[in-house]
Amino acid sequence: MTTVMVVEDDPVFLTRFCGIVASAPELTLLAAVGDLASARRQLARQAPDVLLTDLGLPDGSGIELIRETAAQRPETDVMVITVFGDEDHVLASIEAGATGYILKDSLPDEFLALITQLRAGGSPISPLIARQLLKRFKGPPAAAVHSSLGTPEGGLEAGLSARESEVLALIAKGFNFAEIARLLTVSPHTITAHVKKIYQKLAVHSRGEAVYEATKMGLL
Amino acid sequence: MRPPKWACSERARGPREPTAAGTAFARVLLLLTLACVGAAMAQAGQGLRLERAEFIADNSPQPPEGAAWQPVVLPDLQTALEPGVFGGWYRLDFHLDRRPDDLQALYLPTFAYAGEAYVNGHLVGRSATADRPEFARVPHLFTVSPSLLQEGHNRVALRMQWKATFPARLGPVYIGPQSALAPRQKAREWLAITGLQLLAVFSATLGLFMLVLWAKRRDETTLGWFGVAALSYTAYLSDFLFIGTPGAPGLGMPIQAAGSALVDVATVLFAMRYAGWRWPRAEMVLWGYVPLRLHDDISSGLWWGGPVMPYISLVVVSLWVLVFASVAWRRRNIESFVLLLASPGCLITDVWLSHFAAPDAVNIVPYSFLPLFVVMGWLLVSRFARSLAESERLGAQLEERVSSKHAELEQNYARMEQLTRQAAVVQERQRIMSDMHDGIGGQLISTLSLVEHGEASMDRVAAALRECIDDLRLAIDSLEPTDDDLLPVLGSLRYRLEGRLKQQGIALDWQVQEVPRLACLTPQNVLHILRILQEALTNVLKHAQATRVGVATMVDEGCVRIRVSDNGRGFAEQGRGRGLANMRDRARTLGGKLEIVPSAAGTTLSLLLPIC
Repeated sequence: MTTVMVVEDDPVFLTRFCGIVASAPELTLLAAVGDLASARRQLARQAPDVLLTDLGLPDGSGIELIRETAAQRPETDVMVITVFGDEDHVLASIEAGATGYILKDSLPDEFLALITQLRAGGSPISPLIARQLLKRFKGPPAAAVHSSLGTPEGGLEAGLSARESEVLALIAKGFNFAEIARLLTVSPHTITAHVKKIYQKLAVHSRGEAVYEATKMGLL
Repeated sequence: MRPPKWACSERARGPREPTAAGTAFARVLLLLTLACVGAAMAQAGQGLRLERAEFIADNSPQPPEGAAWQPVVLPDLQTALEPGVFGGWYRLDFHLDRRPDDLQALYLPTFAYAGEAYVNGHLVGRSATADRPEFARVPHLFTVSPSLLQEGHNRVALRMQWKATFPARLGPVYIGPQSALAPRQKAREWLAITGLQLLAVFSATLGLFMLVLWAKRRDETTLGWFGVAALSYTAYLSDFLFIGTPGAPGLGMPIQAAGSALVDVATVLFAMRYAGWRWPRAEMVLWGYVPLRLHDDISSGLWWGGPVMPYISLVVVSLWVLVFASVAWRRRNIESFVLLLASPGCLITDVWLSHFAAPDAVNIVPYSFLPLFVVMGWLLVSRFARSLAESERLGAQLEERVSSKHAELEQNYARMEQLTRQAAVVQERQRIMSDMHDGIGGQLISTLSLVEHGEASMDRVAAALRECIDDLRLAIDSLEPTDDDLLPVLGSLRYRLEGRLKQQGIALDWQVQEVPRLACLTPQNVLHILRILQEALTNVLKHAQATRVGVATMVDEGCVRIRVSDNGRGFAEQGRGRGLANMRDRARTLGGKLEIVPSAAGTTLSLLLPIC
């Protein structure tokens, strides 16, 4: 049984998501709330297996909720609900600790498939996001963290392995996990695991970046 | 050069022969020396100058008695040698009122060569050997014990030995208190030898410095000629460097003579270059002066041209004075006046020494070059310093200008960048507006009217709205930077549309391959491509009744081909007229081509994009 919690301020969508979760026998709806404060209270009491959250909440940003959950409840998978799946929102969520995202208009089947995939250890990813991730890992902040802080372990941890870059590049070209698995002659499960790992690395990477920024501002 | 008082062969002997006093410096030096001497003489109150003597050519170790002594007046020069005779004797008689108490001295300003001096038959000293002509310039002072002298008649006898090429010389002889004569001897030694040694070292240093400078700046020929002049001058003075060092080698007469001639020629050439003149033929003639002087020297002036050589020399030393005068006349600046003032030293000293000086005066011609060299050196160094300062100033100016230009450029660049950005924003806004107007706007309105008229089922409305959302998402995707890579563009299309294909049971066969980068992938063009392919896939969804659709990329005849093929009913019946026209329009805008090949087995649509 997978417990699910939904944080969504739009009652129509909240109802819709709750309906989809309720219709799935393998999912249990733990809580459905419409603001940040209620979500925090609920999380303090009991953490779900999967947290679905919108970003624009009436009393704060969903990013904060994602960050807190990732820090305090590492066993919880966080998925962000987004209208367009555009890179800014998705990347910010992943950096905060989300392991996937879901489009607001997803059909129930897609919705359930994504949650299943997430619990199985995979993370959904679009070609554009994959390309942004590739760029992000090649970009200067990693190098800056390297040189100015002198923490090579952090840098290595945040850097992608050759196989992970390969997977990201193929995703960016539009191949789905099954096709990539065939191309690389591995199982689809391996690919999903790679992607999840990449997400985690991005979160680490962004923490390094935050440390770097903080150092620059003289906070540390 | 100095004509006759010492006989013509004499001039060739030493370095440039005594000639004249001239430059202010040399004159002052001379006066100072004379003043010292005068003071010393006055203080001592005594000292006899003996100018009358008797001479006999005789090789015997003792002055011959009763032989044929000839009266001579000092200074005297003996060139001739009788066969088998290598020397001769001078004797000078003088009278003392009483025998002196203090130490006495015999002072011989000129006493060459290999001489022995006797006072009343007692040997008091010897002079240097006959090997080195420059020893003729060494003034000698021999102390004489008062006990050797006597009241009444006394006699000084001087024995000399010489060679044919180095004739004997004897200047006036002084006898008096040692305390009075020693300073005179010292002063003369300083002027005739030590001063010249210092000059030689000074000019060597100066010359080398100038030549090194010239090697770095070949265009500044004045530097080179000055260097040559100064080094030649050192060669001319070289034998003085080792005077008083027994056995030290001299450079020899020809080198001294060549040095002396070269100083003159190089100084004239310096003057001409300084004036900015270059007369190759005249300069060739001038160079002829060097071999002429050498020949004159080797032949000891005993050739047909010998008598005129001194005048030729005078002409040469006058040349640079004339050139400097001409420059001073034209330029009328301090620099050229100072140079003119310093230049005639040689001429003046030459003339003075030949015609007005005492016969045994020290040769001060070498000193006459000192002021000229100092002025030339000062001039070149200050010119060098000026040009250095000038270039530094120019450098600083240039740097300033470059930095101001740089700032200007940066400003311009920033302004341009801002304009470009503004233009891009305007363009993008227009593009999005027109896309919304043509696409999602129209679709929303038609969906709205369906709902308002109650004509549509919920499914149809949902489908229409989903299409709107897809449109919107593709428009958003087209904003992403592409890095000229087509595949991510297709990837995002797949991501957006595959769900709907799957829903309708249509399998997607994704066969994309790497294609060359396309520079034309601007957001606008990306949207065109996405719209064309979206339309193609929508057609498959709505009309083809296909079960499989393949998307592939390949390179084909200089184009990138994107192929969408289905196994449906064929294109003829599926097309919505307007949609197809739109697709062709968009393809044309892209500079590409749309190909549609219907067949019984399905339809193949290709978009060809030029590789640019």
